[in-house]
Amino acid sequence: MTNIDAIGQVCPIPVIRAKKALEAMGAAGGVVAILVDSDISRQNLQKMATGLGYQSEYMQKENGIIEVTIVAGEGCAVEKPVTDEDSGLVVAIGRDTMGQGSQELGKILIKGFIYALKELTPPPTHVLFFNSGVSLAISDSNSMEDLRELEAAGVIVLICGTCTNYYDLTEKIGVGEITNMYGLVTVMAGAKRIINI
Amino acid sequence: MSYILTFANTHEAIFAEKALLQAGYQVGVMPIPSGIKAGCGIALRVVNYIVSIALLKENNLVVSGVYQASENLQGTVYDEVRL
Amino acid sequence: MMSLLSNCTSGGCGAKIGPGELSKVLSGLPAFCDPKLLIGFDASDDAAVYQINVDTAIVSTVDFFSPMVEDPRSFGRIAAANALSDVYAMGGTPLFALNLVCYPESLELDALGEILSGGAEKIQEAGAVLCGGHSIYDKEPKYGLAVTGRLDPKQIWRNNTPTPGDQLILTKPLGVGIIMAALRGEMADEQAVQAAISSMQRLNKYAADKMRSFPINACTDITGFGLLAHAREMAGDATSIVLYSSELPYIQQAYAYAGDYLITAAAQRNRNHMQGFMDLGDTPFALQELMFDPQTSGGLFLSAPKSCAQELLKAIQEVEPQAAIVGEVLVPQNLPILVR
Repeated sequence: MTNIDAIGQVCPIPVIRAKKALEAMGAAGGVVAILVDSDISRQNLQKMATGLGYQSEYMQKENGIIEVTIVAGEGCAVEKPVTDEDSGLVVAIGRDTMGQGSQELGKILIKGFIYALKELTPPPTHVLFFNSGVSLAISDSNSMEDLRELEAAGVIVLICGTCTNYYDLTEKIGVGEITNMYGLVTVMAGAKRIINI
Repeated sequence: MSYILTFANTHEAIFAEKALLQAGYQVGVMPIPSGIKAGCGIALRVVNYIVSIALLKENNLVVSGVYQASENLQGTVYDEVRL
Repeated sequence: MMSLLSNCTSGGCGAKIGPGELSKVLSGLPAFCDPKLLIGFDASDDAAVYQINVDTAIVSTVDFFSPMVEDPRSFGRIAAANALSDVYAMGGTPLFALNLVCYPESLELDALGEILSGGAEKIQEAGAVLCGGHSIYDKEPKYGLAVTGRLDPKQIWRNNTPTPGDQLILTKPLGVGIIMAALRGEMADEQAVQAAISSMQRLNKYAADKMRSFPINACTDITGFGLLAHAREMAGDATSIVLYSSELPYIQQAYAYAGDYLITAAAQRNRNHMQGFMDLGDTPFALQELMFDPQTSGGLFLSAPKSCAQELLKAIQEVEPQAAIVGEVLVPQNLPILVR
C-alpha cells in the first residue's frame, strides 16, 4: 500500500500524486491511500479512479480529513462498493424515538442522531419523517436548527402529510416539504442505501 | 448555541434537557464530540451556559463540564470553560 | 526573488466562492430598491448599471484575486483585463479604474511595481484612466480593479435575454483553468501556458467593438463559474440552451490535460452546482471538464439572431481567431442546458 499525505495541497496535485503512484505499481496493481482535506479533492480523486477503471472508496476521518483508497489491478479487494458524489443514502425516521426500551432515552437519542447526520460527508440525499417521527419536524422541536442546516446543505426533507394530518401538526411543520405515500415510496425505492429508524 | 454541557450519566442529561425545555430555553442535543470526555455520551447545546447551569442547579441537576465550540479551518474546536 | 505563487493556495477565478454557497449568503441580505438601478444583484449579471439620465448609465464592477502565474507583470495585466471585461460584457465603455492591492510585507516591492504596471498597461489600452486605489498588507498577494464605465441605457446587453432561434458565440477558447492546474502540477508545456496567458491578458474590448453594429440579444463573460453555469444563467426561465460540444473552442493541450485529470477543485464545484440542470448526453469526459473549467478573464458568450450570426462571427474572428458558434437557444425543454 502506498500512502500519500496530500493535506493542504490544492487540485490537481493530489490527483497527480495518486495517478503517479498508481502508474508506478504497473501490472502488479496495488492500493494507494491518499489523505485530503476537502470533499472536492475527494470527488476529483474518485472521478480519476473511476475514469481509469479503478475501484475507489473513501472514509471520513477527524478534523475534516478524508482518506481516499484506490485499488488498481491485482491489489487487495476493497469491501465497500464504489461511492460517487451523491451518497444515495436515504434516512427514514418513522418514530420520535430511537431503539426500544426507555421512551425518554429514545427521545434524546433520536435528537443526537439527527445532529450526527450533519457530520456525514456527503450528506444523505433525503431524510423522511412519518408517523410519530413528524413531531421532530415541527417548528418548536429542538432538532429544528439541525434539520434546517441539513436542508441548507442540500438534503431534501420530506414529511408524510397523512401523518401530520393525523397528529394535527400540518400547520406546525417548520422544515422540508409535505408529501404523500407515493413520494415517500419513490424516494425509498430509489435509494442506494436506506437507514430506517 | 455555542456552549456544550456534559453530564456524568445519561439520566442527568435527560432530566437536564427536560428542565431546560420546560423553562423555555433553547437547547439542542448532540452526541458528545470526540475531543471531550464525560460519563454520558449525550451532551446539550445551550446559548448561555451561566443561566442554564443556574436553572439546572435549582432542579438539583449537576453539569460535569462546559465547553465552548468555535470554528477554525480544520473544523470545530471545543475549549473547556472553567467554572 | 521569492515566488509570487508560493503563498497562494488557489489563484485566479478558481478562488471564487462557489455559486451555490454565494447565493445562499446573498439571499440573506436586505433587498435594495431604486428604480434607477437598471441592473443589480437579482439577475446575477456581470456588473451593476445605474441610470443617470435618458442617455447615460454608469456601469460599476469590481474583481480581484491572487496570482495564478509567476510573472508579476502578466498577473497585473490578467487581473486588469478580467476586471475590465465585465464592462464590455454589458456593452459599456470603461472610463476609469481604481486599484485593489493586497501584498505581503515579506515580498519585494519590485514585484508589486510590476503588477501595477501590468494593470496600468491594460487600463490605458482600454482607453480608461487609473485614478487611485487602496492597498493593504496580506499574507497572500491579490490584485484587481474597481472599474466604472458608461453605457447607453437603451443598449444594455443583459445576460439572460436570449431569444429562441438565436445562435450562441463564444469569443475566447476554453481551458485556461486546466492549463493553470497542469502548471501547478509542473506538467504544462510552455506553449500551452503562453497561449493561456495571452488569452487571459486580452481585453474583450475588441470583440465588443465588433459586436456593437449587430443586434445582440444577450451577452455575458465567462468567469470562474465555467461555461455551463453562464449558459444556464443566460437560458434563464424562458429558454433552454443546447451546446454542441464538438464546436467548443479550446486551447489544444487543455483537452489532453483534462483527459489526464489535471483538473481543478473549482471545476468540480461548478459541476456539482449544475447537477439536475443539465443533460450531458454522451459528451466525452475531457469536453465535459472544459465546460466546467473556471476561466480567468474569459471570453464573451453572446446570443444573436441566426440571420446575422455568421456575419457577426466573421467580424469577431478578425480579432479573436478561435471564436466559434457553439450552440443555439431553444424554447424551454425539460432541462435548461443540453449538451450534444
